[in-house]
Amino acid sequence: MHNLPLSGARLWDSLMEMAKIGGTEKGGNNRQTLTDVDGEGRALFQKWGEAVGLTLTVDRLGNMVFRREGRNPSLPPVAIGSHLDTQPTGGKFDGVLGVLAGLEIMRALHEAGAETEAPMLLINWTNEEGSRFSPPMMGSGGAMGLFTEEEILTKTAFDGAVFGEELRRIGWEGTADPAELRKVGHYLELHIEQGKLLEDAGLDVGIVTHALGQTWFEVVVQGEEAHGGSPMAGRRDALMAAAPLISFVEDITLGTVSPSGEAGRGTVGVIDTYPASRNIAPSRVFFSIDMRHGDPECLVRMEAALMARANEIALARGVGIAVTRFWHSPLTPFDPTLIQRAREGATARGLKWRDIPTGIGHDAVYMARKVPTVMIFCPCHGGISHNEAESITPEWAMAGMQVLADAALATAGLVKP
Amino acid sequence: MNLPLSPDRLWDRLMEMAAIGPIPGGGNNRQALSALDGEARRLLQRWGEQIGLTVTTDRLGNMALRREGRDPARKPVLVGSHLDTQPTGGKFDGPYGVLAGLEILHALQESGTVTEAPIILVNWTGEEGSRFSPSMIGCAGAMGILAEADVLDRRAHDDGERYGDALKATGWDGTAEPALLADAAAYFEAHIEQGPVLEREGYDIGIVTGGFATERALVTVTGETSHAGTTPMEMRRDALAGTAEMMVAAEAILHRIAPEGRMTVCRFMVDPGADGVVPGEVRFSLDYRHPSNATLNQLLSEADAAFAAIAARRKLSVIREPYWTFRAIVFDQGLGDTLRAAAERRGARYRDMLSGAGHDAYHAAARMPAVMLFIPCHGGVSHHPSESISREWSEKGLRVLAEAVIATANSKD
Repeated sequence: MHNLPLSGARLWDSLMEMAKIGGTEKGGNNRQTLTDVDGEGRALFQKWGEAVGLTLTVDRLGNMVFRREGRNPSLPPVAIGSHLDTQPTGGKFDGVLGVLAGLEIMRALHEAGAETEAPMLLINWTNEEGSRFSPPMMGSGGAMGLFTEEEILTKTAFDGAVFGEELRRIGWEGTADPAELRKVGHYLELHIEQGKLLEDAGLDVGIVTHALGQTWFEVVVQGEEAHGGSPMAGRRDALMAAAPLISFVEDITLGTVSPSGEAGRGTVGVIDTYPASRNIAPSRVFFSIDMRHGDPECLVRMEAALMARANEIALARGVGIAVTRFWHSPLTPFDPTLIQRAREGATARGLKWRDIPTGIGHDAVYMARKVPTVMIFCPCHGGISHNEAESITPEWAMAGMQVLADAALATAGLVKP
Repeated sequence: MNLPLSPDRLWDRLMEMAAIGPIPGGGNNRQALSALDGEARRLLQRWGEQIGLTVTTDRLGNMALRREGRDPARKPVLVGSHLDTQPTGGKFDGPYGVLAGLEILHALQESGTVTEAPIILVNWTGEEGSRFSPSMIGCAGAMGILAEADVLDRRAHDDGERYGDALKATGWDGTAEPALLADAAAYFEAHIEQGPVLEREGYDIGIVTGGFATERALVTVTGETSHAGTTPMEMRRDALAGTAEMMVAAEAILHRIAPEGRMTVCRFMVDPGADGVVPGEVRFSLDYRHPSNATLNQLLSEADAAFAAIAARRKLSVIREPYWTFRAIVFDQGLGDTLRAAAERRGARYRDMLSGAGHDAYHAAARMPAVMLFIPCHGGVSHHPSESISREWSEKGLRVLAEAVIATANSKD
């Protein structure tokens, strides 16, 4: 446990000041990636970092990397990071908390005149949200080699803007090689939970042990239109065939528990029927399914069961059911050593914590492909996120920052000032 | 009786009528009390007057084309349907019944045949309900089911035009008393089936013995929107998962209690309807039908109980709001026998059946003996530009209808 004088108040003030850039009427933020306000947010962050002696480099994808030298500059650096971009109707904390908690740690190190053995980095990733340029987590994914630079720089937004041109326009096109970040020794990210497990259980902090594997499917059910007065026997109603399959997504999810007792998540969020006419049984139904699980075996079993059930329903009801797997993200375990350090920090500080998986993507999930990584979750009220009403308490922010600092400084080797 | 019916003339008139308000795909958009509806009415008037029919229009726009009987004091026999269509309608839904009736009167006129009772051909206003609600509004007004003033004040769904004003604008605001049409000996209506049964089973004619009791409702299931990645299953209040279970239950109830009934979900709306978001609300239409009012009520109360139990278990709320209810219709047994006898004599393959959809005949049946005759339509397709029938079906229907109408008009009273 470190004894740096971290200031929760200063962290909170910085969060509120950053939130003024692209602030919305309802108290949220619209600071989408590579817009003018994203540029403003970056400039403020640059000013703050340089004020405490950090050296900034910007890579060709616009990822901002502050460096604080270590006693031994040849050691792989320990990086803290997250993102300053938001959803169009985003909140003040999603991403920003992780970046500014890292900044507060740098400020405290600076004020204490403290040194670490390994160099420390503080990263603001470009386009985590993916709301303007899809897919999300482009900056970290590009740095880790999951996307090519060319692919990213030529992405077009719905408004016709091109990623590379926007990056240049706002003045944040750097020259550093993003691949350099694969040489990072360890990566730590504090983020709001965006769920309500922690708040409901009255906990201060979550130690994220892994990212759930995810498999997404598109389903098309093709039957035949029928007038609402026609007999049931001859019908090939696509919607009545979709209903038991949608139910099955829930059944199979509840029924697939790993040997360690972990359960998965299965959701149908979108469904479209054709024709949407007031007296016609639909001939065609489209819906998407996402299945997530912390045990890869379980995810495979869920997928196989889904396919089998779809075939069964198709046969029984005389409809066609095409289930197409369109995206898969493998289960990503975080680093056991870093997890243990975070747990120890939380325990030593008398915080109430639990292990928790992340069910959604974060920059840390891509980082974990190449670099030992851990995430720390901060509770958020009602699990509300990607929403202007997103909120946390200063106490939660402080607790998360302390655990982040404990694990990061233990890893970088804090030399007592 | 060997009436010189001309199936070709009927077909040609169907095609000529379909030239008014054509839409891509071969269908029609000739909605009630539009300028095109006015044009269609003028064509019918011209055809009727050419064969000496007396054309009157009542204050709701219902057109009556009368051919006098030997005994003008006898109650008339009505034969009718409607010329208005859905916005994406076909050529036959409605016009077939009107123009088959016209052909009967034409053949009677040509052959100089006199019937005992007068025969009146009726074109009802606004059967489809696509422009003015409810469906079958003109007939409902004439039969006293809706008040005249109420009908005249209804507003069009598309442009808000008042029914009464639209009547005047198209020049079809007549002066006749609508209730006169309720004082008749019998009502016959020929119509396309709008379902697949006759074609699939190889019948020429359906003798319609009645109509289903129907209740359409909007069901709203409300839970809570949450994040699909961060919300464990046990913490969710997933409106869509609950709805899927309710639909499966609603179908199972039908299969258990009354597989001869119908259950359909046509419209389905999910909020917010985004990938990665557990739906917070689902609204869907639920349409149950059964030949018996009592069984329909049983289906509905069992469905309501099942929905409530599912909602309670899942911490959802559910509300089923009926917006269209129709009690079961039983058509006249005697007129049904008359149609069967006619079908036998004409060598038509026929079967008894129930109508799944509403028709003007439902309202007429409240005031007089009424019956319907169905002819097949291809693939059961209707309310669609591709709606189609064969010339052979059209002819069989015409011949059976003619025989039954004339037999009724000549029957001893």
